[in-house]
Amino acid sequence: MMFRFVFIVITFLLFSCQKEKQFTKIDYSGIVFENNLDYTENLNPYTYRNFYNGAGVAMGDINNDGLIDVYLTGNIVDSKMFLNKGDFKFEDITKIAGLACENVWSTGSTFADINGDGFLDLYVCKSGSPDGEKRYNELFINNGDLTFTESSKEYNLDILGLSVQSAFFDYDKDGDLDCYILNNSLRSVGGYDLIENQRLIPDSQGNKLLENREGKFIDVSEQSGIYTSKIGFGLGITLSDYNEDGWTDLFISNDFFEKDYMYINNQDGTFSEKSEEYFHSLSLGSMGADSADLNNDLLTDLIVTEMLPKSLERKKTKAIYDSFDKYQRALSKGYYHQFPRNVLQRNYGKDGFLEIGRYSGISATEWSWASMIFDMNNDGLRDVFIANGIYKDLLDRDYLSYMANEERVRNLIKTEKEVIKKLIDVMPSQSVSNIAYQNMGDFNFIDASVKWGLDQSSFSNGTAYADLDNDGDLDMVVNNVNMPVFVYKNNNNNFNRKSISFNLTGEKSNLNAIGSKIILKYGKTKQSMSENFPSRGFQSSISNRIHFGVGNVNQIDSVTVFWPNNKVSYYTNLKTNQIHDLNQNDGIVTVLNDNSNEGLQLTLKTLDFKHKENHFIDFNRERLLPYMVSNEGPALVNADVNKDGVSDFFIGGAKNQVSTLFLSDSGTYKKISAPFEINKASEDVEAVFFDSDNDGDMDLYVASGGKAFSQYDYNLNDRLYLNDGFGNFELSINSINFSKPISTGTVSVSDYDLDGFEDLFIGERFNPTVYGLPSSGYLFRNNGDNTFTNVPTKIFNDIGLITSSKWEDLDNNNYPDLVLAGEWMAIKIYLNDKGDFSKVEPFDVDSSKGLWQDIELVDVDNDSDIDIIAGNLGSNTFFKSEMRMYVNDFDSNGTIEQIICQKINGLYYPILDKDELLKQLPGLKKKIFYYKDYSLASMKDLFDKYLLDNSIYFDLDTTETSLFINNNNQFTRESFPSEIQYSSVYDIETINNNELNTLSVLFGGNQYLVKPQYGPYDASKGWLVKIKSNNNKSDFLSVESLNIKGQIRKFAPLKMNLFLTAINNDDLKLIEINEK
Amino acid sequence: MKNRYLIILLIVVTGCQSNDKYKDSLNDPETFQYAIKSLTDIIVYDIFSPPVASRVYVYPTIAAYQVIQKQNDSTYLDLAGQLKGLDRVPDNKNEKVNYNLAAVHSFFTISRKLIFSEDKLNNAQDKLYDKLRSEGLPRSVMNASFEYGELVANHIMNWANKDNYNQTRTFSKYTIRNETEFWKPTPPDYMDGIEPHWREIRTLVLDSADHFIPKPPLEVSLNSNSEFNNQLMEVYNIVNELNDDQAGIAKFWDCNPYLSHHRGHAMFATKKITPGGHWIGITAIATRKSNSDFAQTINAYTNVSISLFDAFISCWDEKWRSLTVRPETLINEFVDEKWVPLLQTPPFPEYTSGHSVISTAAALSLTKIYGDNFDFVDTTEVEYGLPIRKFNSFIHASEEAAISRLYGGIHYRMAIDEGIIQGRKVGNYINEKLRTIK
Repeated sequence: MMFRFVFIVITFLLFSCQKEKQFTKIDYSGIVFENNLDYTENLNPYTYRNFYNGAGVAMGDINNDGLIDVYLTGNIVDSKMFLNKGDFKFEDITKIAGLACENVWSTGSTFADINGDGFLDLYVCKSGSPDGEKRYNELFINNGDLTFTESSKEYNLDILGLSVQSAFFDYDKDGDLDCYILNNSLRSVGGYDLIENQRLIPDSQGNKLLENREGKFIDVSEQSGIYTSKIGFGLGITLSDYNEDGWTDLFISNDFFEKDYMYINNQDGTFSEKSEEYFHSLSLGSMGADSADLNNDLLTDLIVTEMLPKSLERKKTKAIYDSFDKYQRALSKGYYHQFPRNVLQRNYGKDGFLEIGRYSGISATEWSWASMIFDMNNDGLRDVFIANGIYKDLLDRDYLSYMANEERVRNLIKTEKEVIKKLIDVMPSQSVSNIAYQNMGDFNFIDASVKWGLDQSSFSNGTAYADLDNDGDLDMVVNNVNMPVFVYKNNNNNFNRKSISFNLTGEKSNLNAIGSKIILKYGKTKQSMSENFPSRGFQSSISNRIHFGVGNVNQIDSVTVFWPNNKVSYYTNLKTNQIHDLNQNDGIVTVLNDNSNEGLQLTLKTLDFKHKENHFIDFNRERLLPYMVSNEGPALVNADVNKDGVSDFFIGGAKNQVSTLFLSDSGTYKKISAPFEINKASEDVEAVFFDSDNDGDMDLYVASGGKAFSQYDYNLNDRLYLNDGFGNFELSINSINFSKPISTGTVSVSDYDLDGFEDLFIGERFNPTVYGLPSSGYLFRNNGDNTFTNVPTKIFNDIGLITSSKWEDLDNNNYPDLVLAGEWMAIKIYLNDKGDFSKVEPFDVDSSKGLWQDIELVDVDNDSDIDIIAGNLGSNTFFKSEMRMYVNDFDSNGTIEQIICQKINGLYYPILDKDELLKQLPGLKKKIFYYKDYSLASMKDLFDKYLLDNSIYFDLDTTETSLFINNNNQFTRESFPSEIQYSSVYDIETINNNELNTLSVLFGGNQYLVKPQYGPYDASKGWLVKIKSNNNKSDFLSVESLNIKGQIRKFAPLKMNLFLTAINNDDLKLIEINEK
Repeated sequence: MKNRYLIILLIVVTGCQSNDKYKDSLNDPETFQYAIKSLTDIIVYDIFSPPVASRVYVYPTIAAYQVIQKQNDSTYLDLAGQLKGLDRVPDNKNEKVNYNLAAVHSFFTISRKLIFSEDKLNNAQDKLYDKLRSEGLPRSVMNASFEYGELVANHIMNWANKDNYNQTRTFSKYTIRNETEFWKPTPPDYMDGIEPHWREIRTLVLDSADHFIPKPPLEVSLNSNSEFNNQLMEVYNIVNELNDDQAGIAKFWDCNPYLSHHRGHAMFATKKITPGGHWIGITAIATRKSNSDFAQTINAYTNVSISLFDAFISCWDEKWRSLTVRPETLINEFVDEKWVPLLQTPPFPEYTSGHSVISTAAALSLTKIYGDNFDFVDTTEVEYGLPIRKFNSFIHASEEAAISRLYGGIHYRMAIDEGIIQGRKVGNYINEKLRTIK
């Protein structure tokens, strides 16, 4: 092992009088380059789809002088090679090196020592119009004297296509570098995008996997399971060992309608595409991507960029969304769940990836190309840089509807000269700032673009980073369209925030040990992981020197290197602020640990009941709704109804599906459906077992709800079934009478008047035809003879969109009090004064307006009062606190509208797309004819004051799933751990373990039926949170995934560690948690 | 009190000039043609779907007709009592009113309510009024005419507002049915189906939307012996073997108000007049060629726009009843996944063909007024980059419009044949019931 000292440039002393930003744009470096793109009548974004995709940056030390050199590709302009002379001085050696690639459209490039002679070679991808000399991709073999020899034909690498980027890596572990070439399809987009099985049709111009066989690259795409079809619109190759099996996997991000590919290495020379197994949500028009560990759990996370604008204002003018119908159709044709936004896929190990881009706040960064994940401030957490901008706003809505039109296009039809050019002339052009996200830990990021000096407005594409001046921090080069390249020097204070870097020396023809993984342990509890894969981001590649920011530590306790050939090296006590040379020869062959013992050990059994949701699209009835509310079933409850000591359970059917009772029968279950057959047209969403007729057994109340009904439909009526004591149920008619059919959201049981008979509270979910108007609660007193009286009180009238009701005695008068929650409402407390609710004014829990789906009442902090656990929409959403929903008939045509708004600078702006709002309120088009007008219009601008003043509205305090700690019936809100906020919560169950003084809380949720512009809530597989409760204090001990796929609606705990899970539109599951 | 003097002064000044040129302008039918053309341009700019465009044409035209009818009640019949729910418009009591100006003004006033780009309409209107003023239009005549024009416009608008248009804006969207035979959104934009509840709009002359229900479409079957399959393959083969003449016919009658073109992420759109707009254009040609006077011109537009309006309702009623799948959907799925029709498939069910129904009905209205052997040169599409076409009669043109949808690859033959029959029934019925000339 060897190491070299790093020269720490003492810049902070020189500049200590002025506050320096993290990065400074350097103009004196000698890197003079501008990717100028002038559109012409023949070459422009209409004739060439990838016209404004820009070019890339490749970094590598081509002369082994320890200084990393920079190669910049140009599209129309020549590419350039800059030799690093140290101290941020570079020399243009393009000419002698022979690397200009003149007169051909160059895209991505990457350095790799392909012939294993110790010098980095360069591979340049070409694109653009398919003619011209040297249009094929070129391989420049490094002669070792700063000159190169073009040898692509010799190596079989003279590939001709719309190449975007290449990656060299050893997929079959035979010791040499193989090659993946990303070729964008020649086929034009449009018209055929929803046809099934297109990706199975091979195409000679498509993507390629090439195996290196003694210096000749042989196309093995088909036999290794790589798709080469015409719908491959790849823009990014992102390599990593995603499943931690020691073999390199491939992630390909595809633009347009094609889904991204996750090629998992089968360890036998083949790959299997498993995107649908590993991910739930993908980005739609995927661009560049990068993978790295963002939370130091040693698992590689993934960020893929898209094109969603950042502000609501720009979203309204520059983004086009698929309709829900089109999304569903694409889904049915095999294009999976794709959405127009950046995604952050958190690697959750054996539970797959959870998409949490909206939680992290990185999902909208304008038209984004490169995402680069690296530690910009050496604090030990990798940050994210996103290069963005498009020289012409191709998707400007006003341009598309009103400017690209009229005479110009009429001329176009007449095929006059120079019309396309004129068409593009009027296309808006707006540069935007790149974005740097500082990693604050736990997948929280802040936009540090301004703070770090990276906020220059630009049209940026490929980006690469490296420590260009060997001072211990990572500098950056950004290639721009029609602007000089950005060279950023990192001004990190490397005495306070240190780093450690590694040069890896491999074996055979993989001399740079590409594919290695390094794990650091330091500072007692800290760890970090990085992999050696140079091709990254967008059309770019980084050097193969691996850098770790480590904060203020002087040495690294241990460094483990997992070499590509399964050897492992282990080093201890390496000094920081140094570059260490590590050699594969030091390694010993080791069998990798099996990690499958980590996390919860679960046994999952599928039971013989599949909930089948009826086909109903809420948006077709109420088109302004953001997500559906018609799929909130099934009901699931358990009790011992035949008194054999074994829990029986009831599960509700969706509309047109019969509900079923599972009755225990000598060690197994009988399925009973006869009593429920007649009501199969009802959607059974809630149920409760209780003793209705006071005969000592469990009767069954089944609550029907849903939205696929008229408000007058008798199928909305709830039913009561009486138990004969042996588990035989019979419908009891006329015991409970409502004044009208209601869509039930909750039912709860309590003997609220302490007369010995169990009473019922029933909460109305919504008016099925008008979402948003507050609905009411109904209290039914049990008369003791199986008849119920609706308690005449007005206090439960028009409460809200009620989803949950729970009873506990909050004020220690022995009478149970009622707690209610729902969507767009506060958690409400109704204190029970000796069986009377009319005496005490009900009150709202402070700061509790949310989108609640379920609450639990339990003493969490063990201080003998009742706290509230409440399940909300979560934080992985475009919904924010301070949102407001206005409800009114805004155009006086007899139909009620709901307009959800985001608050910006004290004014409320609709979150809706203009077309969506105007289809509902066409009269508004007079006020807001252009998309630009709409983007600037608040509710006050759209509607007159009288109308707004007479609208009802609902606010949101929080979207977080929360814990409300009780202190004399004053509640303080706390957030549950971040993972619980990754998705919506529909059910909460608590299990007390008195011995350990812990409380286990199960959270289940997800909602898939959301309009594409907002995106589904799918980043939960059920969670188990353990809370340690001590006097007046509660600590979250652990958060573990239950690994249940689907939209969980109800848990039913049968025993400690054994529970049923009801999933909407899926099989009923029995889950056992095995003690380790 | 300064203002009063100013006004008096103005009156004196203008009074002295005694320029009567405005009278010629107001008697010139081109003044009304100008108003119609202004409306057409805005309809194109604002992007209205074909059925909605027919509504934007009809109410302003009816208002203009009702004004003109008051002046010529010896020649023209009141539409009150003839059109559903329409009461007599108020009489004019001011002798200063120029009826032609009042007609144009009521036309603009209602148009403004129905379109979105009010600025464009105001510009068009101001340009005309400025010209009239410069030609000596007395302020008193202008004010009186405007007053009466607005009075009639209000009356017509109150009636128009009861046609259920506002209510239907929020009726439920069509829920896509997965079975093969049902209509599904089509490439490249997969737009939602347009106006699934247009049958709920009040008809003008027809008893109801389902007054003339065409015979049901052929049963969708991909069995190679079935008649439906024959017709499906006919669409496929005709488009694949189209000659220049057929392609020319298809493009001439495309009349797609918003046609999107995709080039990767880059897109652009072209806008054209709607099918109804094309027949408004033919009406302009016919009125000019026949040297119709001001009132005759309005009469022709009124007959045609009423026919178009009811024909759209009748056709849309059938479209959203039979929900027939478009040829493009079936051909892509079962025959040739790469096949693209010559014309972009419009976003609504296939059966019956809208162009066939409305063109036939409109042609019958024009035939009633101008006769069967009315040859003309159709220049309507020239400004949208298409050539001219010559026709022997209105029916000749309507037949070509109908068959163009087969050449365009967007309709089966059954939708055209039955569409013509449906259009004939609608047109004949309207010709029989609606009487404008004594």
